[in-house]
This record gives sequence, structure tokens and C-alpha cells, in this order.
Amino acid sequence: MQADPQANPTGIGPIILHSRDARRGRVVTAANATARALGAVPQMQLTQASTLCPEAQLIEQDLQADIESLCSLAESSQCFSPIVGIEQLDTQPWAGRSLHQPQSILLDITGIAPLFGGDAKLAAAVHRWVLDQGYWASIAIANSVGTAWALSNYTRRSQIAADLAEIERLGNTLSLLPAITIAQPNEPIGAAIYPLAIEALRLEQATVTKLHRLGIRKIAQLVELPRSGLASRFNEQLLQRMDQSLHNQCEPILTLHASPELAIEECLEHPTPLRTTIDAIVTEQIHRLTRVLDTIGHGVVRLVCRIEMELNAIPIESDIENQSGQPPPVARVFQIGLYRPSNEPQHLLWLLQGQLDAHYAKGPSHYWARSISIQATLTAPLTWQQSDLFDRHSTIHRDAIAKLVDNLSARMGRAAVVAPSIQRDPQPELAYSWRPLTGWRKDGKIQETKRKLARTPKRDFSEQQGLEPDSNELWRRPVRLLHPPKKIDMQQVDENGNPLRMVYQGSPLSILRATGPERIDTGWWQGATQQRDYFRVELSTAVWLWVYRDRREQNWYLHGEFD
Amino acid sequence: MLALDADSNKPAKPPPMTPDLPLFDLTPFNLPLFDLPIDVPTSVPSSVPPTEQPESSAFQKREQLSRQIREMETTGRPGQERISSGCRTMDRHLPGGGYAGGSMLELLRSGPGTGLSSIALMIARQAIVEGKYLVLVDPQRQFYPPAMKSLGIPLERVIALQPANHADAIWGLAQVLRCPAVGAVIAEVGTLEDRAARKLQLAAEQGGGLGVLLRDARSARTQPSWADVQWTVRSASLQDQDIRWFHLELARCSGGRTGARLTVGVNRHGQWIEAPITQGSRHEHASALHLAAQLAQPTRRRRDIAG
Repeated sequence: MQADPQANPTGIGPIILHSRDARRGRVVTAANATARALGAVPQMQLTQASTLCPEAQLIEQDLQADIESLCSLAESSQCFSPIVGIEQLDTQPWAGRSLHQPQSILLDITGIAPLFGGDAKLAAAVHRWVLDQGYWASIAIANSVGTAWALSNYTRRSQIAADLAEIERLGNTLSLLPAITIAQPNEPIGAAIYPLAIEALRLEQATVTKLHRLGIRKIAQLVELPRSGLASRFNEQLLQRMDQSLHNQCEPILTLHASPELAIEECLEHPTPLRTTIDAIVTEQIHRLTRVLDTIGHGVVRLVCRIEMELNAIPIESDIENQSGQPPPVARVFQIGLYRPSNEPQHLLWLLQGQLDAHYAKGPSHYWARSISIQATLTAPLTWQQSDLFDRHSTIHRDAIAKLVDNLSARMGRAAVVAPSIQRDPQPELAYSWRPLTGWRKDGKIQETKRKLARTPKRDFSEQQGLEPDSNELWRRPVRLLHPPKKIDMQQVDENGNPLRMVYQGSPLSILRATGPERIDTGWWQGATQQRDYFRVELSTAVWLWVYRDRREQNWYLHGEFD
Repeated sequence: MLALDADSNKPAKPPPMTPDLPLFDLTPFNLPLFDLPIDVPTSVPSSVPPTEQPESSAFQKREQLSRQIREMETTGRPGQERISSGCRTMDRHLPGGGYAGGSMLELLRSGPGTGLSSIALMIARQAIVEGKYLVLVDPQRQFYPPAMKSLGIPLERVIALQPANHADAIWGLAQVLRCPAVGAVIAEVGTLEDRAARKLQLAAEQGGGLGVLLRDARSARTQPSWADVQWTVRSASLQDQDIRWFHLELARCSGGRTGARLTVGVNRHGQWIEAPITQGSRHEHASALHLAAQLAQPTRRRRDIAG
């Protein structure tokens, strides 16, 4: 699935997405066709890729945001099927994938296609809907999850890659790409994927490499090998994947939506444009939902409110012109994610109102609400507030703080509400991170709220006693760290390399005391090596700063303030 | 006499700041709906019995009035508890020996790198006892967690807000202050309009935590504030390698005396250190009694611009 770059109609230059790998520093996670043509490929180090295409636009990939968009899209694709899920990952990333993240949505359409007038029409409707959402997706319909996955991911891979390069050069939209593959129902099971590469079976890289060394590149070749030999020479995964893709072994779809009793829908007799009516219905539905949840002792972690719309006014001509390219909005989906399970109707309503406000603030629309549904797509047991004998306060505060985090995240976005964590890394800017408190895990599951609340460092390195000076001591690290470091003009340095005089905020100031150097070298495995000598300097104005000299460039940088 | 029901939810009228005001501003600062005349006797509530001794009557009235005003100002607060700063020298200059729960404290910065954040974290450390949380409003994303840890802040009870704009920052700050689970909030605020400042103070009263605002000294002087206490912070240079020294000046203190100066340090174990007392520096400000200022309730500094 790919976002449609309609925003830039006049040709697109090379674009490279990167993320930080724990071992290899910054690596390329995705590159567009133009960048690929220049030699940048996923898993390549970013430094290498940027030498190959120096004019490329480098963007850090927000993996969490990707998962959130995928889950939201899956939740709103319930207009096609009641059973919707996202793909389940293995422990190792699959061969041919550069990211260990879910990237596919699975829809169970058993018995649904006739409602749309057949498989082809359903696929076309899905295709149109995905384009309307601002994405492009490769769609396949088959009898099993494995076959559909293989067909959608691998049937037109090379053709799409070639077409993409052309589209990027001309600046056309992605909607021109071929997108739909439908397995013929009268074919023998699995025959559709025989000509595909073995990566289409969702195998680990190690298995694929081994098969390649044996000269097996296509599924058709693999099928001819004796099964008993495969079982003894490869791991179980290979046989299981072959069964799932070629022999219709059942594979469950883990759904994202609620069980029927946690979904409440109300169809209106007459569509309404009125916000007050919608509010009243939503309020009533949330009260009903929380009453159901009360009986099973659960609280809502994720709530989806869906308002089906229909066109209910005759638009005047100028509106038609404006909307000519715009798709009719069939449904508006509002989603809220909570930090801790909650079944307080007031709290849920407050969070939902914020989203409704944002929608209705846009002004009146020709699309009126036809039906309103509320679903608790994810619930979790409410933790009982057993009063500890001595630690009563922390449980009280935990509930209040969870509510606060929900409120803040709902308005300011999950990335703005964060908690600190400390890593053991000598490089100061890598020794900490701010983690959002709400959101999804890497495999597309919701984050465990309990684990997050009881967050403690895995090992407390500050307790370690050593002979060397402890970097955790106060005044050895600045209270405020500048990121990135600011280049400064060091005017005078003594014969040992200690700073004596520097320019700070436009005026040259002498340095009363410089404590250091603290030499920090980074490992080769973290990308470009950093060699720095850090000094804590005290200026004549009594200001304390943290500066370093880059030993490779011989430049001085301001990295922090002891504010 | 006046509307003294301290209904703090009403939007307050900004404090009267007439240019012809006498030297001392007697009007209570954050009292709602007040148009207090300047001369003292008319503003005495009818419940106050007339004092008999004429020479001490003015003093007693002043005491009584200031106590009553103090009570009215603080009725919105959840309790009378005081949060000690952990530093005895600092506590001595604060009424009640600490910061009031549900009040705002402002630290004024005279320049970058002067130690404002460190002082704020040291004070906040005392306010987040009993499992309460510390929230940082940090739009510049500069707070460095390893240093906070070495200051003795439990990181598992720290939440940071990184708002994208000023409106979000103020909204988030008000939400956070209103939450009873938050013991202390440290926020870097650039400009603060009077309505926002008042909103924050009311939110703090509701939540009961301590709000610490880090502000620029120049902007704080020209903008209104509803803070109980304002310290101006400068770094000091004394001949100690591992102790960071600070000069603090009490720019405003409701119910206490302004103008006090003190020098405190923080050593490398995160403990407050009192300044070595040198000859002549034994706080001439603390020992000299400004009689006129005392009589006219010195806790209110005259402010240049009304809110």
C-alpha cells in the first residue's frame, strides 16, 4: 500500500525514507522508483544511499504513524466486510520485506461478492475506495489468505516497479497502475501462484537463501521437491506456509473489530444534519455500551464511532465543480485510543466530542448522517483497585494520570505526550528517548497499558559502581541538551587543547574554568564514527555550558546548557 | 461590604493599576470583583472590632486585613499544606515555610544557562512525593532525562508534553494543573496574557499541585502574573568545582517580604548547599527593616502595566 503523491504533479525526484537501526545506524527503509534506479535499495546504510543519489529527499519514517494509519484504514474498511484484520507477523521479518511491520489488510468476503455484483466488481469498488482514502493498494481475491497475499504482493511486482518509475517521471497519479488480481475459481488450488517467486510464501530470509543456493527460485520448482525431504532439511515454517498457500490450510484472520454485543448501531428514519441529534444518540449509545462492559468487568481501550452519510441536498453548481474530483464521503469514522481501559461514559464522551467538534467545525455539509454506530474494538479487564496497605496513593494517582494522558493525547496527538526512558549509550543524544504513552505496537497490536504504567528501566545502570568517574553524577551532563549541537566559535585554546575563550550569543567571553576532557568515541556499528572531547565550561558570566570538540573535524560545538 | 465569596471561577477583573496610585499597592491582586479604595479604614470589614490603642491600631489593622485578604485569596486551594523547597534558606523567606499547594511559582531568567531548570527540578522533586507525577511542558524538546535522573527525579513518574504551538501549550498546561495526580508542573512559557495566567492559577488551585513557570525576566516584568512567588535566578561563581551556585532574588512573594536575596548551591549529589557567609553580605536586605514598606503591606510590588 502506498500513499498517493498527488500533491506534487510535476515529476517527483528521488525520495528516501530511513529509520534508525539499533545495530547499523540509520538505514534506508524505503526508496521510490527514481531513487531505486539510482541504486538506493532498502536496508542500505543511509550514508551510502545519499552518496548514490545526493539530491534525494531524506525523510525519517514514522513507523508508529504507519501502523496507526493501517489500523485506522482497516477499521474503516468494514464497509466491505464484517471480518477485517491485518496480517500477522512472524518472529523474523519475511524475505523481500524491508520492515518488520504489518503492511496488508485482510478482508473475509465469503458470500459478500454477489452483493456487489461479483468478485471483479467488489475488487473494483475496494480499489476505488482505497484511492479515495488517498492510498494506492494492490488487491487480490483468492480462496485462502496465503494465496491472496502472494497474488497481491508478487503478481505484478516487476511491472508495477517499471510503471512506478514512469509515473514518477511524469508526475501522474498512482490510480493508473494495474492493481487487481483475481484467482480463477475453477483453477486447481494454488496453481495461480506457481509462477511466482518463492518469497511469495512469506518465508524467512534464511530459508529463501538456502533455497536459492539449491537453484529453486519459483514456487513451481519448490512444489516438485519431495515433501519428506523438505521437512527434514528446512524448518516447519516452510511446510506450513506451503500448506497455507497451496493446499488451502485454514489461517485465522485476527479481527480488529468488536464482538457483536460491544457494537451498537442506530439507523435513523430520516437523515439528519443536526449535531445535537448526533450528540444525543452518541451519548445514549456510550451509556449502553458502558453498561454492557460493566457486566463483563471490561473497559474500553479503543473506540470507533462510525457515522454513515448520504447526500441529502441538491448541491448548487459551484459545489459540484468543487467536488467533481472529490469522492462522496460514504462514512466518517472517528477513533479514540485510550491509555488505560475505562468504562466511564463521561470520559469517553469527552474524548469523542473533541473529534466530532473538529469535524463539524468545518461547516455544514450536504452529507447528512444516516446511521450511527459505536464499537468498542478493543477492551481489556479493568484492573481492580485493591487497596494496598502502604501504597494507596500510587493507585489513586494512576487512574487520574491515565485519564489526563488520554485527554492530552486526544487533542495534541500521541507524539506530543511522552515519557522518558534511558538507554545505555555513551553518545549523549542516544542515551535517552521520549516514548509516546498511547498507541500501537510494532506488530499492530495495541500497547499493553499495564506494562507502560509500571515502566521502569530494564537495568538501573546508575547503581553500578566503577572506578572511572560516573557519568550519572550531577553536573556531568547538562539539564538541557541541544539537538542538533550548535557550532560555536572557540577563539582561544591552550596548548593542551583546553578552551580559554569563546563567542557566546554574539559576544566573546573568557572561560573561567573548563572541566574535562571527557572523551566519547562511538562504535563503528552506529554509522559514522563520532570522536568528541567534552568540556564543561564556566564562562565569566557564571553561565555553565557543555561544549565539545569534534576530533575529526576539529570544530567546536555547543551541546548543552546547565540551565 | 464587598463581594468576598471568592468564587474563583468567575473571570477576575484585572487588578486596578491607576497611575496615580500611591507608593504601595494595597489592592489584593487576585481577588475577584474588587474595587478596593486605597485608604485603609474604609476597607475594614464590619466584623472587625475597632482597636482601642491608637498607636498600634494601624499595625493591627494591617495585620488583620492582610490575613483576611490572604484567606480570601486562598479559599480555592484544597488545603493549607506547604511544599517545602528542601532548602532551609529558601524556605525561611517563604510565608509558612514553603510553597503553597495549588499555587504558581515563577522563576525568572536573566539569560540562558543560568540554572532555571535545575532550580525548578530541585523544587519539583519535593512536590512529587506520595506517587504524584511531574509533568514537563517542553516545546523546545530540550530537557535531558539522564540529568533529571541524577537530580533525583523518579523518571517513571515523569511525563513530558511537547506541544506544537503556544495555544496547545497553555491548554495542556491548564489540563495538567487541574489533575490532582500531578504534584508539580514545570513549563517554559514565553508570553503569557492575563486571561491565560489567571486560568492557570485557577487550574492549579483546583488540582493542588505546584505550577512552576520558567519565564524571561524582561517579559515577566511587563506582563501580568498570578504567581504567589517570583524568584529571579542568576548563576553565581564561587570557587567550588563541583557545586553549582545560584543567586536568587525574591521579586514577588504574596504574604512575605520581597527583595530578599540568597545564594544557594547544589552539589554533585543533588543536595542543597547554603552559601558560606562572608563578611558584610549577611543579608542587609533581611536585617534592615523597611518600616514604611511594612506598614503598607510590602508583599505587593507595584507593577508597571496592568494585565
